[in-house]
Amino acid sequence: MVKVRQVLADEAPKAFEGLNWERDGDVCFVEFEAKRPDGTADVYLTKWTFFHYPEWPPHVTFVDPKTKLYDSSYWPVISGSTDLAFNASYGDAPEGLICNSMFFDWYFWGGHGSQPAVSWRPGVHRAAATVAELIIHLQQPYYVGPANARA
Amino acid sequence: MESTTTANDRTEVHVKSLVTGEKANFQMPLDASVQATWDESYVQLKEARRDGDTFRCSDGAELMSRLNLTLAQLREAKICDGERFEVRGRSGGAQLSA
Repeated sequence: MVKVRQVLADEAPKAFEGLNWERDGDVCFVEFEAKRPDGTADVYLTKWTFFHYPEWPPHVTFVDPKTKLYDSSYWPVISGSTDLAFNASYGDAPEGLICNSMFFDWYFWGGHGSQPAVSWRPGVHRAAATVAELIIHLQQPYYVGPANARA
Repeated sequence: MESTTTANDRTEVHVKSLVTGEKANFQMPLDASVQATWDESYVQLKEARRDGDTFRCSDGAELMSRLNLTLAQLREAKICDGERFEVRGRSGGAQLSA
């Protein structure tokens, strides 16, 4: 845990610069604003852990802002990207799957782990790369709206 | 009226690496190309170019089809307001999701 706390102290302020975020022990909660095609803004709360960082990317999931626990109904819906998919539920993955190589779970669920051209490289990629993919995919032309609006 | 740009005209360029989160601010001639600005970004960021990197505006506008334009031309076209750029690394994998 000492390593994790050092990582958080070193990495989190730079990775989350400009975002609304807070740290709770070994976990970070970070808000991301998404823009629908009509300009409507939605805010998502994400939970970040760095237990295997920097050898592997951070684990990220979307959470209910009230409980701060994973909830598939609080995930965003996007379309049109071949680089990233938000799978609010995915097989046995306990907290859904953000399907992109800058996210920890991508390597361990669904057999994604053998694409060296896009894979996380320790010492090259930082948590900022994970943040960037979320920011990009929660904007146009990808973001559609919240999953819970479709229930 | 058409504006003219000389080699002495310079502008402050702001670049962020979306791979590492590092930032750099530096001067470039307004008649420098987007490609030259991208190349200089690696020097200023102290990063090596990675296979699959792309260069874009901080508002998300893509620049890979505009690498031969000059910074002055970008400014006239109101692209990359404030000369703010990003180096984006390659990632992916979603096409394999079930």
